[in-house]
Parts: sequence; structure tokens; C-alpha cells
Amino acid sequence: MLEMVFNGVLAAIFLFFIIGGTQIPRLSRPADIVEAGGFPIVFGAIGLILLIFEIISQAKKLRKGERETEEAPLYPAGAAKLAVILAMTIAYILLVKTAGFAILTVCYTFAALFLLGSKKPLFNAVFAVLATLVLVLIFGRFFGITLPRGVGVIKDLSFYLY
Amino acid sequence: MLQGLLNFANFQTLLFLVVGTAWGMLAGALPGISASLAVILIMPFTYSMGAVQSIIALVAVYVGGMCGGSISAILLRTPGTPSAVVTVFDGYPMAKNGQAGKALGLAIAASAVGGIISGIAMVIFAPLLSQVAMKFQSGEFFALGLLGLSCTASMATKNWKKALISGCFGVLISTIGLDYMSGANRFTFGTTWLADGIDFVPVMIGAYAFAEVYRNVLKKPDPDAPKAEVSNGDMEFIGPAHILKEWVTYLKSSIIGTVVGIIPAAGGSIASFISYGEAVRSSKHPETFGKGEELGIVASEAANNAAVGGSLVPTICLGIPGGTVTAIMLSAFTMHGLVAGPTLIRNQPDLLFSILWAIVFASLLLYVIGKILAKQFAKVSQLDYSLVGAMMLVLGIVGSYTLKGNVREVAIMLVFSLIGLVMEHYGYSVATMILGLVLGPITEKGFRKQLIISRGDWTIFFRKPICLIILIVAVISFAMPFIRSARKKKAEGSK
Repeated sequence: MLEMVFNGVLAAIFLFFIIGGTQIPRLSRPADIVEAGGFPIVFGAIGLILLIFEIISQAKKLRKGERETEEAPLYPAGAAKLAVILAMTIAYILLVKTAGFAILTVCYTFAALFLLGSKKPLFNAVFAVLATLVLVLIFGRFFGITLPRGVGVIKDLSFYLY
Repeated sequence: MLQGLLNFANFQTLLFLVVGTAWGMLAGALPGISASLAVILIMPFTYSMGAVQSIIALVAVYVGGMCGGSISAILLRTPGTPSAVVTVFDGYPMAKNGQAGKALGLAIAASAVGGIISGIAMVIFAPLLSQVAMKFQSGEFFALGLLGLSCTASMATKNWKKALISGCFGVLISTIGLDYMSGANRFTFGTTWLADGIDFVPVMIGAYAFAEVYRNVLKKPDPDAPKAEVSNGDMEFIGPAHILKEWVTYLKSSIIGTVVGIIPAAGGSIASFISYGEAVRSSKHPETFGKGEELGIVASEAANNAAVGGSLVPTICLGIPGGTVTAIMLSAFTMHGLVAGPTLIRNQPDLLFSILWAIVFASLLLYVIGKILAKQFAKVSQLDYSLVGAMMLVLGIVGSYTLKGNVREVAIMLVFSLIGLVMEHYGYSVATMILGLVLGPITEKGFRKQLIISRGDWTIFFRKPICLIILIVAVISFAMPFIRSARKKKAEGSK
């Protein structure tokens, strides 16, 4: 049943591209027959038609009691862990410019280790610091990629590292 | 040819070759560091070298970089370079089944064969091939993109409709952003945030690496479950016996890689997609692809390394770089007072042969360096999952961030990690979604540009011989899985 919901979401996305494609202003040259909206409309329509066929064949199977993909019962602890990983990554995205790459990566790695089953705090902390140091040295120093430095004191301190 | 070989007869050149290949492999194995970045970073070290030595070093980095991407693709489900995306499809399942060593060995062997064949092709057919490549205009690019997209049906192992739907979804995502021809905003919701479009690297990292961690987290721990076999970290040597046994796939993939590599702006990623699609299409057991099929790795790696020799053809023969790496190499040529083009081959033929030997030697060196490097990387698969998973998450974030130095890419990666998780759960194909995302812009740009050039005349696509041939091949490639399936059903029915 949940697959039907997902198919519905996909159908809505395809519809969005088809309708959105028709509303893109015509700015190109006259010979550009398909314009900027052409490809989204064509591929959106192909996708939607195929999806309708897929939904019909799934509905038939559902009626017959067949299931193409087994919907495993949700493992609550796993789902909670997934939600925490998502929250952690969102926090990383939002805070990295303020807290800086080094500090946030140490925290993120530490938390990820703990979440994925490593229950030794000292080991996790050492691993998180060493892994971040290696990443900072490789990407920040060696490759010269500009990593976020954070603000204030964190920014000043970051110059010692990368 | 002998003079080209004699250029290697000194310690310094050999050292540059070894260091260049090792550096390329290491950089390639790190997500976020592409082969072009590896070449750029070693450039300053080549300033003081002689012309031939510097070109040899750069070629070695290029060869190593193209192969290195497969290491993290196989072991971490995180392709080190965009060209190694396709290697994930079968490389990671093999590693999961305890065959990481074999998968790495196959990747190295295929890379070596692809590189050597493309090097030979470069020397023999360089002038001819470059002339053909220069006939590639927008129409041909459209046809080439369509040929790549036609592989979608071949790549469907379970449900062709879902594979095609995923492919269409990928193409639609590729249309997000500023339209490069009219400047119109497409599906950006009026923000500048999406104006740059969606790059396939964060999508791929999210849908593969991050989603893999989610899947492991969501799995209910089963204490009675048999422990998965773990690789001892040793790369298996894949020698001539395997190459001779599967010579058709090795040769076909290398040829595809060389030809696609020659075409300006095409490159290793497209080559590996087309080659993989062809391998699935021509296989007697297409259902095994995506589940740890050895030939899937061969097809992908032979093609992307073959693109190295191919991409050097227009650069050397015509002075036209086909991509970022060859553009950097062209600047190295200029820096050392060499003028790439027809006169270069006439006046300095030993350089062309030196490049050939550099490709051959670097390809052979992949075996040695790959064995050392892969052993270190393969230790990862022996670690506790909490460490591997945490590394996948952190490398996923860093790999996405370093692409453009922007957290936007990390956000895109996160969104697609969820999309990838759900898509795979319901039998949709992440692989064909990425195929659509990569080939969508090439197809669209080629199609619209050609129509503008021909003042809206649609028949131009059928009047251009190369374009027409590719279109016919694309139609056959698309129809083949359906024809085969119909034949199979008919045969089963008659039984």
C-alpha cells in the first residue's frame, strides 16, 4: 500500500514538471522549437504514462493478493536512528559556517559512531579527532580546498590547522 | 616508437611515472577529488621537468586517477570519481558478498586493458579518429545522449517500466536550474539556490553511500544470522586467463571508451554508462547485473580508462581539448613550448609514442600500486560497521561539500539519500535515475542547438550520416531487451 503512496508522489512530481514546463517563459530564439519547457514536458509525460501503467498493474496484483515488493514492518529503533542521522546532518548543514568544519566534523563523527553501535566513548572521541585531522590535512592543507572556518575564536584557531 | 620508449630509460622519468600513477590512484580513491583535480594539483611539480617528462607524469596521474575511483566505489559504495559511478552497481554487491579482492582485481585488470587498448588505438588511428570526432556536432551529441539513455531498458533487471520511470525522473531533475540557452529559470521556485542546477555527484553520494547507511540502520539486528564473509583485503590478481576468457567484453568496452573519449566533452562517465548498458544488453544473463556481476565491473572500468587514450587524440592531433584534464595537459604542452596539432605529430613523433608508453606502463603499474593501495583501503571492509558507516557518512558530506565548496551540495545529497532509499525499496532504479541525470543535459543541449542551427528543421537528425547511425543503434539498443524477452516468452510457450 505504501508503494502506491510513493507512486502517487512520483505522479505528482511528473505532473509538476509537465505543468511547470508549460509555464516557462519563451525567451529563446524562434528556431528553438522545443524551448526550455520542451524536455520537462516530454519526459514528464513519458514518465507519467509509464507510471499510470505501473500503478494499474500493481492495482491488479494487489487485487489478486500478489505483492511485488515485500513491505517489511518498520523497525522502530532503526527508524529512530535514521531520524537522528537526518537531524544530525541537517544540523551540520546549518551550523558548519558558524562552528567551522573541524569542530563540527569531530562532533558529527563522534555522534555517528555512537549511533551506529560503537559504545566506547574514549575510542569514539579519539577516532573522531584523528579522522577529522586526517580530513582537514588532506582536503584543507594538501588540496587547498576552502573548508568552512566558523566565526570568532574558532575562525582564528582554524588558521593553525588549515 | 623506439625513441618514445628510450625516453623512459632514465631513473627520473620512471620515478615520475610511478609517483604520478600512485598519486592519481590515491586522489581518485578519495571522494570529491576528481582526476582533473589530481592533475591540476601535480601541475606545479612538473614546471621544472622536461617537456616529455612532464607529459608522462600528467598522463600517469590521469590513468591512475581514472582507476582509483573504483577502489572506494567497490569498498565504500562511494565512487571516488564520477567515472566510477557505474562500478558501484556490481562492485559493491561483490564486496558485500566477501569478494572485495576479486572486484578490485577486476577493476584494475579492466582499467589496465582499457588503458592499453586506447593507447594503441590513439597511436594507430589518431589522425583518422580525430577527423571523425571533429564531425561531431550538436545533432551527434543528441544522438549519443539518446544512445546512452536507450540503455535504461537494458539496465532494468526486474521491472523495465520502473527503470524507465527512474530514467525519466533523472532527466527531469537535470532540467532544474537556469536554462543554458534561453536563461529562463526552470523549477527553481524563484530562488537562486537551485539556479545552478543539480549536480550528479551529490545525488550519487546520497543515493548510494548515505542510503546504504540508512539501510543498515533500518535492518533489525539478527543474532542468529550467519556472519557475512569478509575480504582479507588482498586484491585478487586477474591475469591473462580471465582477460582471454572474457575478451569480448574487455575489447568491446575498451573500444566504446576510446571512441566516446575522443568525442569532446563526452568522457569517462558517459563511456562507462554506454559500455555497461551494452554489456547488460549483450549478456545471456542480464538479470545478474547489479547484483555483483563481474562483467559489470569490467565493462565500466575498461571503458572509463579507455577514455583516457581517446580523450588525448583530439588534444594531440588537433590541439582541441575534449575535457578538463586534456585542457590542463594542453596548457602543459604550451608551457613547454609545444604546439599541439598536426605539426606536433609530424615534428615530434616520439612524443606521441612516449604518451603511448606512459599509458601502457601506468596501466601495468596499476596492478602493483593498486595491490598496495587496495589492501589499505580494503582493511575498511574488515572494520566494525560503526566505523565504516561513520566514515561513509563523513566522507559523503566532505565529498559533496568539496565539489563546489558549498553546503548546498550537502543538502542536495541529503535529500537524494532519502529518495534513493525509498526508490530502491520499491524496486525503482537509482542507476537509471543517475543515467538520466548525467545524459539529460547532453541530450537536451544537442537537440535544441541542432534545431537552432538547422532553423527548426527536424529532418536534420536523419540527414547527418553519423547522427543517423547512432540513432539507429540507439533504437536497436532500446528495443533489444523487449525483443529478447518476447523471444524468451515465445520459447517458453512453445515448450
